[in-house]
Amino acid sequence: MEKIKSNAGHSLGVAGLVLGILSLFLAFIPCIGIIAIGPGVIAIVLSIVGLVQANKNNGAVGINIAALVVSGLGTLIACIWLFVIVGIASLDEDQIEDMVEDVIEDVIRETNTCNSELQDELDKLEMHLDSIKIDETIHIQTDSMKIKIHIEKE
Amino acid sequence: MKIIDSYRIINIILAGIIGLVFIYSCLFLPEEGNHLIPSFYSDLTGKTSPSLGLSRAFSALVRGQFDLADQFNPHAKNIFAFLCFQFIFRLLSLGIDKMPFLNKRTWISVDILLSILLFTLAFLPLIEFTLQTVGEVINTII
Repeated sequence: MEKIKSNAGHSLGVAGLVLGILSLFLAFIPCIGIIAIGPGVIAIVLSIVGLVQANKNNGAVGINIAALVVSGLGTLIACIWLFVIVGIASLDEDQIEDMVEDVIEDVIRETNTCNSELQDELDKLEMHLDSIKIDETIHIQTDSMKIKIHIEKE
Repeated sequence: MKIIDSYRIINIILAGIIGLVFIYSCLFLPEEGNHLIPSFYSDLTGKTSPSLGLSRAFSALVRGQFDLADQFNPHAKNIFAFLCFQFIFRLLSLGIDKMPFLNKRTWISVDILLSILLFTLAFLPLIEFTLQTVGEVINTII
């Protein structure tokens, strides 16, 4: 005889699935990925309880399994963010100092790369510049031209 | 026994959550940068991540300031478009029972596939960054 399907564990499965989707969504945002552990763990608990209830009372297990998979994935990724952050927090002062220095060096390197064109132009200008003198008039002399800018006070 | 329409409940809750994201974006001005959610990753590591400035970019996007949003986060437009699509799709899905010409099972299958595809496209830079970090963590352990 075919058993009649019940709603056992269905509500828990829905709650677990929503929290699981939320945790997966949050886990892929690096800035707040660690927060996904909260809804992820709750979703895992809800879906496991829902799955047990569904198995006992012949309820639908599909939604609980989907919730378990989605929340498990979200929690796993969130745990990796936790691992990264705890790993950094457990560094001693010297290691943190080294890391900050590395970051500063990276920024300087990137800035220099971005400004390479400006640096080239400044080098060219320096090569062409013979003299620069400032009194009431600014005299700029290069290989090919002389520029005079007269300053008058009112 | 009362039958629970789980798809309807999930749609209502997800539309509510996305609606709250839009309300949160409207509450804060993008220029002031006083959003409540900090970037834990950047605060702790000192490095930038592809999700940095997302809240400010969303605040700019809900006000139609697309160029400003681009300055805060170049990926924000895609993610915001994904959220808008999801919000509209959730609302449309609420009325699926009133559309007899649509097969509910097919609609749900299309919903799942489309959502996964668009999520992957919108979050691609963030997913890549996450996978890169996962790789680094695994290398550290090994």
